[in-house]
Amino acid sequence: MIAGGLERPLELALAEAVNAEFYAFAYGELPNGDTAASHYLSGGWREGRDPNPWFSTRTYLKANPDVASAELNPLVHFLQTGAAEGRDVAPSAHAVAYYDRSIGWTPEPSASEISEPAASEHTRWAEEHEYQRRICSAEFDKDFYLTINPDVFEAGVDPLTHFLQNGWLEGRDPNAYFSVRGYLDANVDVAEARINPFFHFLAAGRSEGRPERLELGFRYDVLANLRTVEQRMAEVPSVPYDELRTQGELRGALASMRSLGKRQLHLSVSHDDFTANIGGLQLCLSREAQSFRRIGADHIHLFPARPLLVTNAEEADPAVGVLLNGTLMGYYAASSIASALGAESDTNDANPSWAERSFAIHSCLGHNTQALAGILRALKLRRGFFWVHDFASVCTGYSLLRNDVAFCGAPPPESAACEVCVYGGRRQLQVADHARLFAEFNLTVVAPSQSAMGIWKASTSLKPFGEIVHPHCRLRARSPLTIPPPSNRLRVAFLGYRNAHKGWDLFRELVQRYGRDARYEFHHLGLMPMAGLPVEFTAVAVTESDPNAMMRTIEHLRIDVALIWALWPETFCFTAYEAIAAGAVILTPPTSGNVAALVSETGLGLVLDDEESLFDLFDSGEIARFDRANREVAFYSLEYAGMTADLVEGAST
Amino acid sequence: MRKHQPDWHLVALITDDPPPGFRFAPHSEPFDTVIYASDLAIDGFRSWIFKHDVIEACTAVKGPFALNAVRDGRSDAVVYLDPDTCVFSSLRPLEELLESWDVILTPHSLAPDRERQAIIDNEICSLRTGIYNLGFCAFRTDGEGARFARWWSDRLLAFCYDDIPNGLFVDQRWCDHVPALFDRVKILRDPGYNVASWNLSNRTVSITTDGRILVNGEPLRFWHFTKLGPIGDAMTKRYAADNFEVYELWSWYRRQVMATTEKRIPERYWAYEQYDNGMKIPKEHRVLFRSNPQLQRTFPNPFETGPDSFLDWAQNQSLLTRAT
Repeated sequence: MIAGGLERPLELALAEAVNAEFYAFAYGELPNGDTAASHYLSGGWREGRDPNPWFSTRTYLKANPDVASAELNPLVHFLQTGAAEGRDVAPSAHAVAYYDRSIGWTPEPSASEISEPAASEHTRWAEEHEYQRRICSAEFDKDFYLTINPDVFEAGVDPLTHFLQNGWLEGRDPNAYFSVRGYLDANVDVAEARINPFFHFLAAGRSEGRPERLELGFRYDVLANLRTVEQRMAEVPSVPYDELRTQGELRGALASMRSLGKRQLHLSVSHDDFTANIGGLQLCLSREAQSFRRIGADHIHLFPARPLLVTNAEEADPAVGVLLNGTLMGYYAASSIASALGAESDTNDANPSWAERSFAIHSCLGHNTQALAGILRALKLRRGFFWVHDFASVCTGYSLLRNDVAFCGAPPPESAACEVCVYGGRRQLQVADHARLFAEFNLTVVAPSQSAMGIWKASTSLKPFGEIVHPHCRLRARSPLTIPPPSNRLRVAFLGYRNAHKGWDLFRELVQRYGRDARYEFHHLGLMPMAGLPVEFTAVAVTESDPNAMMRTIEHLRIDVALIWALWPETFCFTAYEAIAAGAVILTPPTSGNVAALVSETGLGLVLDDEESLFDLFDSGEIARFDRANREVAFYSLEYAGMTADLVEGAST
Repeated sequence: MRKHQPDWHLVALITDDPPPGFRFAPHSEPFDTVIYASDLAIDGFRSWIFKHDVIEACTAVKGPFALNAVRDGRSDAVVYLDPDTCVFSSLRPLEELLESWDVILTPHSLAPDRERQAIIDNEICSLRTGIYNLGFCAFRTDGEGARFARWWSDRLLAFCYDDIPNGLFVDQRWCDHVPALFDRVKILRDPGYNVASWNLSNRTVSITTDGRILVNGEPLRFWHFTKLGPIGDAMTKRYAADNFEVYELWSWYRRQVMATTEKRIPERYWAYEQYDNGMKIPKEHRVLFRSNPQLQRTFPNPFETGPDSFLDWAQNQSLLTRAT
């Protein structure tokens, strides 16, 4: 004890009172040459650390609430005033271990320990906590924890302390690999004993070979978060009707358009404004628009103001957005559009423009098909094209993924499968909405791949006027852009937005299994990275002005293998074409539609029966045969189709 | 049920009464008949039901109901299903079986477990709670079916309690006797019937592209969605593992329950859970009452409170801790 310490400068007193050797023993090395005294002063005490074997920080604060609430450093307080006031101290929880290690000494039980059972419980907790902290700190990922838990970050508390005290009880994970809930589910005895699962795993479980989680598969999470169609519809905001424009304004715009006297008019319909959104289908529509304009046609595009993603049976006259030659003219009630077009689209001697007319429905989603039929009638259109970009004409589940987890095969609507599927309830309604258009107009169905046409025909009761298969792009041989240096690791990539349909969850599982395997290097090329995985992320955005961004990046990064594990039968997968064009090969399941067909036709990759087969290839290292160094690599450029413009031109000659 | 068995007479057996302020309109429900437990002609009904907690009561009434069905002879056979079951395909095979068998039971498990935890969770659990799961049973109203109904009714009126150390587990454990006491008993060993978390360790669910739901390749007839909530979920996850079709069914079931839950009925409401002063009846009170015939004679209406009531007596005896 330092009796005369009150007359010495505080720093010197603390330097004596804080035992650096003890501090290192109890809490490990300090970063960057920090001294024990300065660490304890600046924050170590808040973490409950003890400065020496005879002073328990927590006990002193608990016994002296005035010190605690004033947020004073307890050791400083004791040295400055507490000792003189006769305030008690209790030994550190680490004292026994510290002294025990060298001389086999144990302290006499202090008076405070006997009379304050709460304090010794507290020291037991503190001791246990320190031990847990030491075990967990090596693999606790502070950055991951603070990123995933912004509330902890904002509170400014030490993340590991938070995790050990509360975080694990709240199900918060300590790093990107370990799941607290998963471990407890898989290890019933640990859950029943109420032990911190991460601590258990590191201290014992891992060497015992305990499972880290129940292997429930990613579909469990998809199903746990599944929302009904009604819930999704309710989330789409309604349109403020005072923002709708009038028929008169549209008539004016149409009249002005016609004054240029174009011979041809093309109308396209889809689920969104292709000039405002990024995506494969949007780029296709943009090419369609450009192709028509190039041949001197006017182009009108219609899309729903509310992106419902089902046909709109609830609003008889919904708000529809209108693009005239690529320019947004505003939103109008569907009936206003029909009236305006009815009034302004006659072809006669006075106005010979628009003698040739065509239309293409790329998607009815968000549209009321009754109202759409009215618009087509107003333009006196009888024959047109219906594109099968997805299977919305077969079911509200337009990817034919039952409950978003498995390809359903479009079974009969009264089947048990449709009964239990979130999309089943509204299926008949949506099919009927499409049937209305097929009945009234002569629709030639266009599919961008043979596999899409095959599935559509097998799944539908709709009767098309004609059928055409017209791919969105073709591959044309070219020489490589660059010759990047070879790599001694196989480069495996996921391309695009990380959603379940595209196989992100399987990719993540692959990374979790092989991310630390020296044979492999994992990449993600897309828009938004995911924290905490050993994956190299490269931002890529495919836009109208840079349509080859993905292909170029795949080639530049020398990606050997692309995992395109589409869960649904893709009608046309640009990503697959981009991968092949850039010299990569593809791994895909047999139910991926156009992707599997492309791999089978070109031989560039493997169609694997199941996920186990995929893991076997990586386990055995057999996948390395797809390293560019081990095979012939060919490069292609993508020749994009003009979409409906190709079909209309052909028809008119 | 209506969709798959349009010609069956559907009866709802309700061991409850509508809460105050809630108007229950049976004619607007899809059942053909609604029967209340209080209509089953159980002697001293209120005193009898006081002896039972909600699970004991709801299982006990199956016995007297079965006997009534035998006596009124309006049906050839009865199929009982728990309210947390759902039918997914035709139960016609049961009708066919009832041509040659008088009683049909489904065991909890149809195959031995292999993992230690599964043996504890499944096989040892059924050693405690009964080999056969009484979320389902079927019986003829004549022959051995009638004898079974009479016997079961007698036992359940007297011994339908959750007292595992003494070998009793409500209605279910009694049925361990059935194959021994009665003839023409069919132990139905088809995996499509009474699928639940306790037999998932040996059953795999698949859904075909022509829309059928199969269990070990056989059509799924009915699923027993026992313990909706965290426990059912833990057991389901433990044994379904990555058989995601199981979670599809559970997801569907949760949506159905949410869509049909009547929000005007308070959570966990039961007409027989309170003394008439509003105090919830603790289990120990019920157990004390049922174990002492003298008390039953002295207090014919144990729900009553006030001076000279059962509650008053029990509290004065300080035999029971006061419920908070």
